[in-house]
Formats: sequence, C-alpha cells, structure tokens
Amino acid sequence: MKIGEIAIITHNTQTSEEFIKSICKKINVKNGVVSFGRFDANNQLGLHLYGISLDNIDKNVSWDIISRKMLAYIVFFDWEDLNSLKTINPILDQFSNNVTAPIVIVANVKDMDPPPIPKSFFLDKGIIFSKNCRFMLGRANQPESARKIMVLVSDMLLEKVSC
Amino acid sequence: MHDKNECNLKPAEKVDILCKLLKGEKVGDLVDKYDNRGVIGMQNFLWETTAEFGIICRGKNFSRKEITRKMTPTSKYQEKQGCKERTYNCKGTQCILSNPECARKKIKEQVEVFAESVQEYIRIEQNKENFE
Repeated sequence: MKIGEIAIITHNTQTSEEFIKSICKKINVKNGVVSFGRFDANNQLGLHLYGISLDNIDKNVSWDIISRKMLAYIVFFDWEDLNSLKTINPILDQFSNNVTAPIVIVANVKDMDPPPIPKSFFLDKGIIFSKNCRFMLGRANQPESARKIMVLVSDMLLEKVSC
Repeated sequence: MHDKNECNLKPAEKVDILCKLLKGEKVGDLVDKYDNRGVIGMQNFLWETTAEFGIICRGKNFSRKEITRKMTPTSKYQEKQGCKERTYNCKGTQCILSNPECARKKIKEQVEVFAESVQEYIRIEQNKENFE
C-alpha cells in the first residue's frame, strides 16, 4: 500500500484535530504533541494526516528534516485572531526556504455561510503566493470545507508532476 | 534597479498583507514598515492579487486600466514632486534606490488604489453571489 503523509500545522490542538476528524472521521493516535489520522482511499492508497500544534512543540524542532518526508503541508491560523498568525509566521518563513512540497495556508473562519469574502476569489485554486504556496479560507471542523482544502492540495500535487 | 524576483515577500508577509486587505483595513501604512526590497515586493504582490481578483470579477472584460486610471498619472505626479527625470524612469523599482522617499510616496498611493479596487471587486462578487 502506498502512503502519502500530510502535515497539518496549527496554532492550537483543537483545529488540527477538527481537520483530521473532518477528513478521517476519527483520530487514531494522539500523544499531546502529534495527532494522527488515517484515510484509506482503497487497499492501494492511503493518506496519513499528522496534526502538529505549535503551542505544544519545542520551537527548535527540525522542520528541515521532517519536511523532506511530507507530501504536503496545510497550515491553519484563526481568521479572527491575528495572534494565531504570529504563531505560524516563523514556520512559514522557515518553509519558504526549505520546502518544495505544496503548502496551503488556511484562514480558519467560524462561519463559511457566507464566507468573509466571496468564494469565487479563493475556492478553485486559492490565492496564489508562489509556485508551491496558496492561501484559502476554510473551516477545519466542516467536512465539506476540509475536503475542498484536500482537493486544492491534490491539484497542486498534480500541477507539480505535470510541470 | 531591483529585480522583480529578488523582491518576493515571504509567505508570512503576504498573509499579513492579505488579511489586512481582505478585512478592509488600511494597507498603505505597511509601506513604512518594509525595507526597500520589501516595498517593491509588496507592490508586486498587490498588483498581482488585485489583477487576479479583477479577472475573477470581470472575466474577459477586465482591463488593468480600470485600476491604473484611479492612480495619479505619472507626469502629474512628477510635476507635483518637481522631478525632472523622464516619465519612463518614474518607477518604484527604479527610484527606490535613488530617491526612496519619493518612490515610497508613489507606491503608497498605488497600494491604496489596489486596496480600494480589491474592496470594489469583493462588493461586486458579493452582490453576484447574493443573487445566485
């Protein structure tokens, strides 16, 4: 079975766990630092989602070593709380130098009905930051919204292969 | 002259600008926060984002002119600043090194136009979605 590993990096544990539950239905393992969920597409392909909350980890974690393994990164912050953006900023800066895998930065909003800005501006391909980095708005605890984030990740992976 | 590719902002800086832009907050003051390279990066990023929003909103009818026409024409801007350089040379990327104060002032004006245009595109799309 082929396994793809995706890191879900968030400013708090709740958001990463909500996202993993939205995609995988349940958290398989959690140890206070990492939450893990698996999604088996079929008996040939599976996705492993690792939720890493920045409020729980050592600030000197070796992202450059972890980053080589990951298929993609989904980085959440809270749209209403700009302090959460400050928490993820150092990681984003590190990633901009070390990571070639797709990165989707998601502003987690409380209410997507309607979203703070019209869907047409971010839904299809996100707002493009660079070749491997996009921005979108979404809701971690809403399966439909979480699925759209995963679709964007898949699209970015396919684009990377076809380039 | 600064190379466009050398002035790319980091993702964290782009998120910061974008959040302010989408929430309708003032982005012009951010010009004072960045160094010369950052200011050019910010101008590029806002141009690209505003144009992208314009294309989504207007489709084939989008023209960059609908943004640039809200800006002070270069010749008038130069006249106001008492600048004797050729009009062609009045570019942020060019003047940011030789006359940073003037270049920053011009870019600040442009940034405010980008922000105004983005808010306009958001309003138009919101209206469209309300009627769908």
